[in-house]
Amino acid sequence: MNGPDVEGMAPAVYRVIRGRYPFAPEVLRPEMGFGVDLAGDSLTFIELVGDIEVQLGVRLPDEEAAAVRKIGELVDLVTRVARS
Amino acid sequence: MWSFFKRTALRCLRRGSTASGDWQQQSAARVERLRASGVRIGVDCVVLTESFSTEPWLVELGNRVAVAGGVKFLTHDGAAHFLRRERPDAQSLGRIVVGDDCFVGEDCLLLAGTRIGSGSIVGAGSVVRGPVPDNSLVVGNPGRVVGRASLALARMRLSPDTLDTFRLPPEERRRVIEAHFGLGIAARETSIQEGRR
Repeated sequence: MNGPDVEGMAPAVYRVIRGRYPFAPEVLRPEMGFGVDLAGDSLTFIELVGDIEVQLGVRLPDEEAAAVRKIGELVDLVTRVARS
Repeated sequence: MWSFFKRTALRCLRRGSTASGDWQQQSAARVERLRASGVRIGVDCVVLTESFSTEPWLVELGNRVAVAGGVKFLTHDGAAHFLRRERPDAQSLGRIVVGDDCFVGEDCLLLAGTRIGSGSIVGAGSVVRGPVPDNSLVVGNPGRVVGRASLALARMRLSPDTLDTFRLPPEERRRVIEAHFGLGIAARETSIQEGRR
């Protein structure tokens, strides 16, 4: 498998999020929180991290992934990890 | 067994709560009893269940394992009952092995042949069978791996609802937790007054 496509990472993260949280694409915004805005619990978020790692070929460090609260933060983290 | 439970329950009721030291002592005594019955139990384990099936010697807990109340270890498949029409002594059996540093949540059922990898967390009420990789978070029935246990713990560590209340005296513990959730004495009195209206 080739390395992750860093440039296309943001749309890819949004695509994976939509697979786990049933929201229309136009609704999701970087400032939205996984808990309050997307009404997800901690288990759903853990599953989302697994989805991202499998589908996008990155490994997110536990402590950094655990600190993520908003969509934008997750996109930033995935992009940063993919670049490193 | 029942009298032991009753004694413990009465003691807790008298105190108004189960203090952490209390159940740790109960766990230590239970671990010794279970070891005597053949369960292989590592060091620094906390075990709050007595249900180790009819073949307790097929169960092995690693080091620093915590098993919550209501958990059942089932080391045989009772459906072998039907085999006994042709093989009167048939039993279908399996070992259950829980690796080091695992947590098995309240009311889980671990079936014969289960092998839980080190550092895993099994969510409350899960029904688990077969192999589970190290560092797994397992939930549901049938239990499935939904992610890394280490990520779940890291998330829990940062959660605003994770409080440092475990070893507080019961009354103080209640006060701190109620205050955290906005359920202090004032809130209780307001709620009682509203109930009277």
